[in-house]
Amino acid sequence: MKGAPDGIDEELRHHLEARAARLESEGWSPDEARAEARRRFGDPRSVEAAVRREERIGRWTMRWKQWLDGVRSDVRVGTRQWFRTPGVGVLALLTLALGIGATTAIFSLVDGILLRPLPFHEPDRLVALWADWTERGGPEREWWGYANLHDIRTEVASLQEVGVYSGWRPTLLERGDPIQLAGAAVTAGMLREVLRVTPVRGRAFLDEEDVPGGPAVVVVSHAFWTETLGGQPGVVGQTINLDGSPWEIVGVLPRGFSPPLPFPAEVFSPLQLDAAERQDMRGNASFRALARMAPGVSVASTQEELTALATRLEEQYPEHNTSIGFRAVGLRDDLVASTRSGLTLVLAAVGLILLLACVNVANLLLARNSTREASFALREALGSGRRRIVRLLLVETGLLAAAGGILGVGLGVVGTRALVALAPRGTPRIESVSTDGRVLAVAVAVTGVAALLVGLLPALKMKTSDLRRSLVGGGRGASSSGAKLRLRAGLVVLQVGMAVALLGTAGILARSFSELRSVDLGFRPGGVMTFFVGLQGDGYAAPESRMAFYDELIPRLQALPGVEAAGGVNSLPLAGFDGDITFQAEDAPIPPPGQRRAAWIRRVTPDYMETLGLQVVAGRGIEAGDQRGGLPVAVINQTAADTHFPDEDPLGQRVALGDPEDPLLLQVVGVVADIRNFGVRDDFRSAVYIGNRQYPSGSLFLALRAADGVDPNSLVPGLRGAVAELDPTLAVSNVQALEDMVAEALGPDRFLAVLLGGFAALALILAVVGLYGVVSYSVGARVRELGVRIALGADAGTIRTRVILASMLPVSVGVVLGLALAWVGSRFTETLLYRVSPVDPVSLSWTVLVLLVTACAAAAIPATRAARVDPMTVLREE
Amino acid sequence: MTETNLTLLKGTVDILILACLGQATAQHGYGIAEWIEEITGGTLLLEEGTLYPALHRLQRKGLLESSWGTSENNRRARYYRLTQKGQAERAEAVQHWDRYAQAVSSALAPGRGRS
Repeated sequence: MKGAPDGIDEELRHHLEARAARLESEGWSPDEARAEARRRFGDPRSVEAAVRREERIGRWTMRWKQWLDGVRSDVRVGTRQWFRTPGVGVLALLTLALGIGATTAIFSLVDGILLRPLPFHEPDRLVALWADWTERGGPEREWWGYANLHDIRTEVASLQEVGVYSGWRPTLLERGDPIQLAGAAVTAGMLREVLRVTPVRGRAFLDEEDVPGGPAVVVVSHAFWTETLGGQPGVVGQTINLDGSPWEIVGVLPRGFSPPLPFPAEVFSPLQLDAAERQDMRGNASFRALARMAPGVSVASTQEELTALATRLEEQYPEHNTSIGFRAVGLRDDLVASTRSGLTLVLAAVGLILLLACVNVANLLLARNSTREASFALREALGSGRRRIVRLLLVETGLLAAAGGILGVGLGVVGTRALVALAPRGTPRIESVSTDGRVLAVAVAVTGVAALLVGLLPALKMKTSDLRRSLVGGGRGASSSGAKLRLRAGLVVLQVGMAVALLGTAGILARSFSELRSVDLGFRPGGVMTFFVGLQGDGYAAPESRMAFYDELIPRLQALPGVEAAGGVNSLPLAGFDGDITFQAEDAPIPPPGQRRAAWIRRVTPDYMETLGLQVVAGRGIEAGDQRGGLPVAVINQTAADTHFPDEDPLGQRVALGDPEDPLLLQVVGVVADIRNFGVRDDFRSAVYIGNRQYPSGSLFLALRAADGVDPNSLVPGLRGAVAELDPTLAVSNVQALEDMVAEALGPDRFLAVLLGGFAALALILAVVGLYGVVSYSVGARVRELGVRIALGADAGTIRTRVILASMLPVSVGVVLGLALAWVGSRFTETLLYRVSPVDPVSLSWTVLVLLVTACAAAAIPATRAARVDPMTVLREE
Repeated sequence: MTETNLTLLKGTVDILILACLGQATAQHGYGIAEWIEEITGGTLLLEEGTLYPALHRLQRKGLLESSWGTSENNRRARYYRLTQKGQAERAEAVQHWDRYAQAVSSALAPGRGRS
């Protein structure tokens, strides 16, 4: 009896029989011999199973080796194939690389800014604390008076430590020109317990240093130590001259450590508040705070505790705390809040680009494969399995994707650098954007997904289409062209859809940006140069000495060649500084504490309004005669006039500033037009201008208007000279043309519009290339039919029109799809737009028009070719 | 030599198979079992069935090849022989085993030296 075909059964049986025979020959009875043979052998079933397992492993190993060999040969064949059709190859490669590169670059931006944890110890425990003034018509994120922060620090158990800081701008007076430094005065716990940073040299501040009249000590950044101080090792214990007095360096922060403050701080000093300052600042807003939550505490429960405390303090100090909320915001969210929606939009856009690129390449591959159908059919007829053909196609796609991935990652690295360089100034966390392992892993994943998207469709197509028919069909692949055309038309629908969505969104953003650019700022930034001089040191302690300095400086500035006007202000428009004061008409009833109105206030020198081009609409501006001892005057803006003097002429009336029980009363002498003070898109708020000669400020920003035809940048050496002549120890800083400040304020909007515009252009090109390919293919497939038609007397013009019209069908469906996509996306763009609807019909109409015209043009080229088909050539080919 | 039957160490079956096939040109599984029995005087306790998975594994690794032939009692049997790779492996395994066995026995009986 024969066993299984592999003979294992037989082999084992042979053993048992041979053993039994041997035993019988030794004198065992047949039955005993069989039993003994079985005993010595062990369980035949488990032996057989073990043998079969060995055999199975053997078969698998063999198959795996064969498969590997097959893939290896496919790689060789596939590579050759790509070199045989270099045009398609290069086009597909570039398309994929662009898609992958753009995705990599944008993802690295998103990762660095939005996703990566902050570079601090247990960063999830850090929160920013804000006073919420929204109920009082103020900002959602307002600075603090110290007293509230003190109460938060002592009473909120969820917060392990609260660090308080305020800006500090000392002037470094060492060798060479005075340098304006950016710094912060911080409570002792800020570096030590909130940020938990360990200085690389020296130490952080001690509690006993953060007391009124404490020592003049500073902790400096690593960059400040190495670049400004020269990086000598013995830096701790040395003193530097800040504002004319010696400060001892007690610590150097680690390299690259950048505190999460809204400005790049180089030097830190202890805050050293005295008792009066600690208690008397519930209403004022001069401080910001960061805090570290206790381990295991969530932002939500911290917020609950803060809200409870805010309610308690509101009852305790109604005159200061009425309607003021306390907010805790996760530090990362707080830092990146402004960029989130824009970045999300860009990420979505680049995702569409990637998808579009993949569809395009899939389309290219379909076209390429259809010309190879005859050769595939031949292979199949010769016994090569369909699986192997599909495998060859997949390998070819894999090669393409791998090459595209490598090139794409390269492009991505370059693109990331370009994005970082082009990113608007002040983009949060831009320094943490880099292409590292995380980004590369995502790029590899993106490449894999792209390879799947690109390769799957042509491969599946190959499985379902009947290859043999294409052999019979004369090797032209014409017989199955109907189904294939439908598939490719479907891809065109997708492409056009995505292109319309991107173009439409980009168009709307561009319109919004142009609206922003054409906003009447209320001042004329062209030709104005600005700078800052910080008056610090003992010589400028008295207000009179500061006033005298500006009285000297401004005429000198005005006398500079090329200068038309010069003036000073305590804070320039768009510089991002608030500075509100309680404000009302003198004879208006005093509202309860929570309902008092505020106005932003600026101290200006006489020629400031003229220099910036503010329009005086009634009365006069601040003049040279408005000085100490004279009539206290104010100029208010149009909004203040409308709000506080709705039915009367404000001129000659008096306004009350500050505490309404004990106000500063000023006579209104003029009304100026509103200006965009806080941002280009901000609404107007009440404002009051007072004379710096009447109420002198600490330090002023200065503005110079250049005469017609004079480049404002050419004024810089002159203004530096004028300051140095008066006092060589003063640092000139923040030298910037006002126009640049306006451009900077629009930076994020411009960046977004440019990026989206670029992506939209790319999308349009990809869609048009795809459409062109499909129409060309359909003309090629129909060439015989067209030839017959022409031979039968069809008019060339009619044929061309018909071909174009036929191609417009998928385009129209795509347009509808795209409009739907744009509508879906509009909810993400809404917050980014200015005076433009997220489904702006004008932009969308233009988009559709541009797309249809381009699509017609793309279709017209192959259509013209179709009309020129020579019937004789075609018929002869039959 | 003692009368005790020795349980086989792991991997020993492979070496015994290689050694046996190194002696004969070709042998079937039962023949290998008999050879082991004779050569060791029955001291090794071999469950004969365990030879077969080992034979097939060695064949998969390319150390053995097999073909069907007729055995002494006129039955079809699968005959195994060493391949070239198998010859080399046998030489190496024997050498390796010798060194290993020497090392172990001298460790166990340091005073008596080689047994």
